[in-house]
Amino acid sequence: MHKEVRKWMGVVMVVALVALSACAGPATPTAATPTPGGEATPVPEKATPAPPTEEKVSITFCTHSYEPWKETLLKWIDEYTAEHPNVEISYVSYPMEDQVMKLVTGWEAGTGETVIGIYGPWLASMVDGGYLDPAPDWAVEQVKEDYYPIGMEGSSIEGKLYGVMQHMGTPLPILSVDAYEAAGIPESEYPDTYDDLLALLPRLDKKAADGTWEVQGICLPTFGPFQMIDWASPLFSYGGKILDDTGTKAAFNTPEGLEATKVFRKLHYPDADINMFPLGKCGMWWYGSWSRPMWTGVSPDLRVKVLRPLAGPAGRFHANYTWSWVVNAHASPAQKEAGWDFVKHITTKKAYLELWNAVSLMPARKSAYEDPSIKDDEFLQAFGKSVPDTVIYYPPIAKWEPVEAAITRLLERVTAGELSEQDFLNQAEQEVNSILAGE
Amino acid sequence: MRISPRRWILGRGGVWRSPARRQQSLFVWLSLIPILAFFGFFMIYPIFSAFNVSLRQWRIGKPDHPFIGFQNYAWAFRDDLFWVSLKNTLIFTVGHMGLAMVLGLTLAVILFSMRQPWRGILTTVYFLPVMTLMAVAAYIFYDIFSPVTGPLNYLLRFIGLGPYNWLRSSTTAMPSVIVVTTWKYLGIHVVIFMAGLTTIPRELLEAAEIDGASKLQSFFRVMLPLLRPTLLFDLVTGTISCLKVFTEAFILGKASPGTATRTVAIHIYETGFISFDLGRASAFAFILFIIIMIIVLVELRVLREQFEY
Repeated sequence: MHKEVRKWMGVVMVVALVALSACAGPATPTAATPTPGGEATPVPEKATPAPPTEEKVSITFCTHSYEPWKETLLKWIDEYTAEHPNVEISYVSYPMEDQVMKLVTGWEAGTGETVIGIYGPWLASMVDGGYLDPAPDWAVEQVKEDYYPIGMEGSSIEGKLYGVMQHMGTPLPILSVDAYEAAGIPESEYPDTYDDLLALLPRLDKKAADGTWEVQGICLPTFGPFQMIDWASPLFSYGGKILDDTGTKAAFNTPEGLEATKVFRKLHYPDADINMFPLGKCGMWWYGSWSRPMWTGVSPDLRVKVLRPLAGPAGRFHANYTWSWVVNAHASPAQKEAGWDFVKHITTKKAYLELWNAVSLMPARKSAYEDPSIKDDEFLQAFGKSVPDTVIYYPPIAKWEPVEAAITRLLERVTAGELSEQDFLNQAEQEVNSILAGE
Repeated sequence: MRISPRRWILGRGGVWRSPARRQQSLFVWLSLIPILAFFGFFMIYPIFSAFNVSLRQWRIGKPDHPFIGFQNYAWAFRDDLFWVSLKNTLIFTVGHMGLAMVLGLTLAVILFSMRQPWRGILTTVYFLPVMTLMAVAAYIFYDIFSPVTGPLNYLLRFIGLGPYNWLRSSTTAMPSVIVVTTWKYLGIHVVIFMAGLTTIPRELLEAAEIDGASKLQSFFRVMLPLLRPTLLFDLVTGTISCLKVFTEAFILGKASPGTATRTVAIHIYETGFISFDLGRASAFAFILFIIIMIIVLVELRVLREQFEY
């Protein structure tokens, strides 16, 4: 009996486990799936606006943030919920590196947040996965009327708008006036082209007798997502492209790509330390307006100048990216309505100006730049004026993330001096084509 | 007296078992059901479920998950990144276990020869890093290794060395990760070996000393053979942990070029959550599981034979 009990218990357990596993179906909510705070509802094929309702609605609001950005976001929530007492908004934040994974797994499990701030390169894959609700008409009108063209481009897939811009990254050359003055370089000689910059670097670089850096002519990050941006900028300015027009093949292994990669490598010192810029020991870095708090807290008297994107033989095209406010396609109609209404609240000119004041994020609306509070801010105005010289660097394809990851991995080896420019182009082309072919 | 066969059963070993004994066994099994159910649902079921996912084309965002057999496993053999990750993982395992076991055993012997309270104090000191979070430690070492502003290079300059780009070079990136991991987990090895040293009979060491053996001879001829069970335990548990390494390689690897510190666990993570291919990620996870099992079985087989005396 003892042996039999054991035997049958074992059989029952294995059968149950196999049956449970085999029955595991897709987690993507295709049937009626409850979303947090809302009622279970079938996923609609086409988003239709729900009639105004006073029913109690709970939505979640998620974006990557840091102090004091978070304080501004919480203030917006308080303002909105004071005006709309039937709406309850809970705020969630993830570090940027973890965000896409958290969002996607949450959506797959049917527990995704309602209103989310997403990074532009993620947009295509999220639309492809059916996660994002198309933007309502008021949003389309708002973006067309008062946003830079990249406001539409950065939040649209195949001409359809899916979000309203949260902010533009707009990395630009930010020059340290102090470092250039110390090197005896007057303003008239400030670089305008990549060749100018490369010629100036030896005059700026300074090392101590023991070989340690005292001043680095330029300090660009040697790893991470900005590798892609810092490579795409000279690539575009030298007439190169990342992918072909169909978005199915690599198009950067060209003479222009080679020249641009050589420029990229010369601008990236293997031992560059971005901490040098806030310490006033670096001639230039390429970051957005949001980087201002990174040095004002350390060297408040550091004098800087924002330059126009550097020019190459094909023109002036610095890589840009956007973050957009989007709404979860699987939320209930009431949640979507409240979500888009909340997006409207946080994309007013006033809201963008508050974001600028809190964390130096460039206002997305053109009209914000005329506001008296920032009209005389030379630093911000320089960014605003340069936006037309920037381009969204990522093609709107669902497989962009693995493509960017593959290129970035190889760029890091170029920066470390472990891979020649041509070998990088060859290997990157092979990997990118393999990813795009679905292998 | 006639014994009713329905009341007594022939148990294992030809022993007749009483009804009371049967009831006792039944009670034990019924008591185990909740824990077995918990174990089954939260540990065994996910394994079966992951295996099911690994046999399907399962991409996040796509509702259809067609059965494709072992194609995801076959892909692993064609995926260069997987082999690079595996190589890095094995290098990390050998490097960390070699360093940690040698240092750990040396420290344990030294500490064991000390008297209290110093033995306790120093053991605690060596164990402190174990109690820190690896993510926190990795970020701190990230700054320590910085080529320009890091304190390590600052100290090396005083003795005329460096600066070195510890994390930025493919040659030194993985050794840097090994050093950080060894710093963090050395205390565990020390404690394990000290526990093993307490099982060695003092008389044997005294006898060796009386017979004229030096300290080194005592260590290699008496202590080490008797420590083999402890060494095996440390090696097996450490190997399993090393083959699954993620946190320190991921955080420190942010500064290292290309795939210098890419481990299998990182590859699984990126396949699942960057490429959104859960089918392949699950397949890689099972392949890692099989590799771990083979390596551990080999270790057990080779080393266990050596201490059966």
